[in-house]
Amino acid sequence: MTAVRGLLHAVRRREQLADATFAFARLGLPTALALAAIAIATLRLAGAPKAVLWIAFAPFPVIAAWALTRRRSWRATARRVDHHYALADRLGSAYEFAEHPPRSEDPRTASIVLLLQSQAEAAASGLDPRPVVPVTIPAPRWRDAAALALVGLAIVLPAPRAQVLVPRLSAPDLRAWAPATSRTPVDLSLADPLRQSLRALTGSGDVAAETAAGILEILGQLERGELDRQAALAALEALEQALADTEVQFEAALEEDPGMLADAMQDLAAALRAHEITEEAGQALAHEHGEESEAALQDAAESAEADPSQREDLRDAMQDAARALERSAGQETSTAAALDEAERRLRKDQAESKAGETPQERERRLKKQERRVEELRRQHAREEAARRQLEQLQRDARDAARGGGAGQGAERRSVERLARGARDASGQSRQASRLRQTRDGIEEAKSIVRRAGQKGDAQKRRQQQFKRFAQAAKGQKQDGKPGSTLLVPGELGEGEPMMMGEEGTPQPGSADDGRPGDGFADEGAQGEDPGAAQPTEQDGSAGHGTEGQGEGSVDPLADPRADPRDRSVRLRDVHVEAQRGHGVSRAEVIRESSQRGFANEDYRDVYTSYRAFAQSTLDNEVVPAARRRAIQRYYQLIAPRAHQD
Amino acid sequence: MTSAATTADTAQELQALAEDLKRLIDEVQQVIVGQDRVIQGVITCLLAGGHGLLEGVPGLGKTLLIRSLAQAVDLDFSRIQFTPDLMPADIVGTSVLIQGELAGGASSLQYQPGPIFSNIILADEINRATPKTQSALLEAMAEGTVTAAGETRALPRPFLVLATQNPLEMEGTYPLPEAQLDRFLFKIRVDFPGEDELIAILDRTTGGASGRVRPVLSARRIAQMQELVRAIPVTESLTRYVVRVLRATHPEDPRAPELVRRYVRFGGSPRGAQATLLAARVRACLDGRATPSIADVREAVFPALRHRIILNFEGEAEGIAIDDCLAQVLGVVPTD
Repeated sequence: MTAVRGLLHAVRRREQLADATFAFARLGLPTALALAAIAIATLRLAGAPKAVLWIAFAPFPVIAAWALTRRRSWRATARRVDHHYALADRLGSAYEFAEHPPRSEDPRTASIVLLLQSQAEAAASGLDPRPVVPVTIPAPRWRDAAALALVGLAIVLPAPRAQVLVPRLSAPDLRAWAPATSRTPVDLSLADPLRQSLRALTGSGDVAAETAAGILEILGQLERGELDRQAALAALEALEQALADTEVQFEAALEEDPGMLADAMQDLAAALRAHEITEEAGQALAHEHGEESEAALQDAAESAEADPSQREDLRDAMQDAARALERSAGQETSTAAALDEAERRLRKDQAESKAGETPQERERRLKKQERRVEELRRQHAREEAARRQLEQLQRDARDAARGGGAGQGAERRSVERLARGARDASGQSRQASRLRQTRDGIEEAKSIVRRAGQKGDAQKRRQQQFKRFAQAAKGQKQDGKPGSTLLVPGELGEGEPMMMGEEGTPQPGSADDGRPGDGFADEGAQGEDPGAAQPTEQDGSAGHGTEGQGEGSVDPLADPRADPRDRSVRLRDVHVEAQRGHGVSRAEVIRESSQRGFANEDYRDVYTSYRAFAQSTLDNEVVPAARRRAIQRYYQLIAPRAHQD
Repeated sequence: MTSAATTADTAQELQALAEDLKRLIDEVQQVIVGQDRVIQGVITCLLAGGHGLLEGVPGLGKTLLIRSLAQAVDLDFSRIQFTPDLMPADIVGTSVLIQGELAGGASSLQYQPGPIFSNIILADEINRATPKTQSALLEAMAEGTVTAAGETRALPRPFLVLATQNPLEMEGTYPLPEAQLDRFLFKIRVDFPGEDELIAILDRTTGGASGRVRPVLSARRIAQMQELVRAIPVTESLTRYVVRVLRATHPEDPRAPELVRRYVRFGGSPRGAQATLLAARVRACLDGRATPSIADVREAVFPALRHRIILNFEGEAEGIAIDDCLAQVLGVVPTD
């Protein structure tokens, strides 16, 4: 029965193929098209992720599995072959007798069965299974056409504006950190500004809002004594970790660069504010209120449509908007150059290895570089996507400025498209901005919690720290020996260093050599550091030549609202003379380091002391979130790097 | 003997059977024009060892067919014309008084066999005889014996009753009871011949030369054939199919089609399934095949079951054809 079984197996495979083909064509194709249409529509209307398109392929594995696992009787398959070749059930009967011999005791019956089986074997060996089960693709029907039409309709739906969906964040369970016994309430009056900004974040129902609510709750419990500082810090860190996870997902889902979109929206807002008819929309957009801006622009478009006198104003506004968007879209960033440089360096490092480097070190270094290249590539792609989005908005604005082309209401539709696009772009940048603000809020809250309740001890530590820093800034080591200094060499004032916000007794400063000295001055500082120069609005210190007028620096941490003309502190301009022959100054260290890639040991020391002081200040002072972020970013940028040579 | 030799012998035997049957059919067709299905049905009855009921209007050659078959197989043939005054003794025989000089001096009663003591009996217009007379056939058909004058006598083998009845002329007739109908293996419908067949009939019967039937098979050969037919193997799936078909003729069966559920009072009896399977075997032999197929069963279902299904009052009133019910049954019953 070998030939019969072989033939039946071949026919069975043909049956499976034919079933699958038929089902693919009749059921799978229209279903897949319909699902694709739904997926595209969802993608375009609801901003679903692109992965939803994979659902269109869902019918195919299902059908394949059905075709493979569908129950078929071997007898039926044999009957099919018999029927096709007009064998009068010969193969099927022979197969069945092989499986279940007849119960007759008549020897002639057994003999007939043998005869039948030999006839079946002879017949089966010469039969072709292909014509038995023809595999044909059925002709398309109206359902296929309807499904195809649905896909077409879905494709022509307006393209979605990128909407990054951020997963919801669950607030941490504070009970996990709350001790059974109550704690002494902590005074958190310093946290009032933070609370205010956090309250502004709540109420939106997104991750930022939930996190802000979580921070407020933690601060509240700390203040009421329901949490101690350690538990509050642990809770904040848990929030921070959860937010970091969310940011990773947000980052992965981002398609356009939110920073670029945010800048562009601000430019657009400025252009719109310049015209009366779009002023309200511009204001709303400047405050990242995309929906309000959209509504205001639509109102403006309707007004312009109804009143020809306003039409020109709207067209001028659209003209300006198009220019602003064109500028924003054309703005070059350093990402492409950085990417080229990173890729070049990676290729070079991949090609040659450094002397004395172990394979593990080399592998780590290359992996780090690869990650960097990957990040830059992603960023570059996002910037390109943002640029394309801005170009689309620019086209919409230009259409609106030209009157929207042919057809009644075309101008209004162009404005509405622009308004929608601006709303989406604004919404996306707002999401990023809110997440950033939330992270700043956590940082600030942690800082507040750290110093809460330390009172006198902390103040003492701060004073000592500040003193050490002032000495270091003057180039004096703790043992009194001269060291490197960031200051321009010159005369150093005498007197005790004063902390920002600390009231002190003014003392006249005098240089060691009796000449006027140079020093730092905090803008708006109430105390006076003897020897400090007068404050200016310029940030950074500079020495003019080897001898001259010192211009004091503006402390980036100082209150910018302070009146620079305030002479309540007695300030005195001093002349300094460059100090020569006292070794390497800190300025030289930094300058030299910058030429060598910020990689030498001296620079590392300088950086460590500066960074520690800055961090201490951030931890102990009320610093606005934006400033806090700028400071941290600055120190990240000037961080010591690995040796390049 | 090796299995190859056995297989070759069996093939030869089946081949010889098919050829003999073909010669028999050809011989009968010397005088009968067309009516292939009827001839095949009658031969099926002969080989299956059953009896046939031929139903058709007068003049379609029923009697001629049966006589020709008897001549071709070289068997005894009796024709009994059933009339209302026909008595059972007229069929099975009777005891007659034998005068003394004829019987060696003393008169005595001697059994005189009736026409039923033949191999092939033509019971012409069987529904014209009274039920009493009809029932005289019952024992003969079922048992192959007759009891007369207190003595049971075996009928010659093979024994084949082929009855005819006229479906139109029902006045003064006695429809066969269900029990007796069930004794017939087949109920064969003799249809009116087609145009070409009629022309051929006219040519043959009105011309000078008419065909003569020569005997081509002996009684012994017929008996061998009957044995071989019963040795034909049948697959289990085919047997199950026959059973499913039979059960579907009953209105209470879940597979029963609409016509059966509405118009059938009783479905086919187990004898119907036996008849179907036997007939399918014969059909396979006629075709020279070693085992019957589904197609054989589907062909055999109509003559084997049509007289075993009883319509209800609505079915009779509506004039429902039982063949239509059977066609629906075959349409709904799965083959596997």
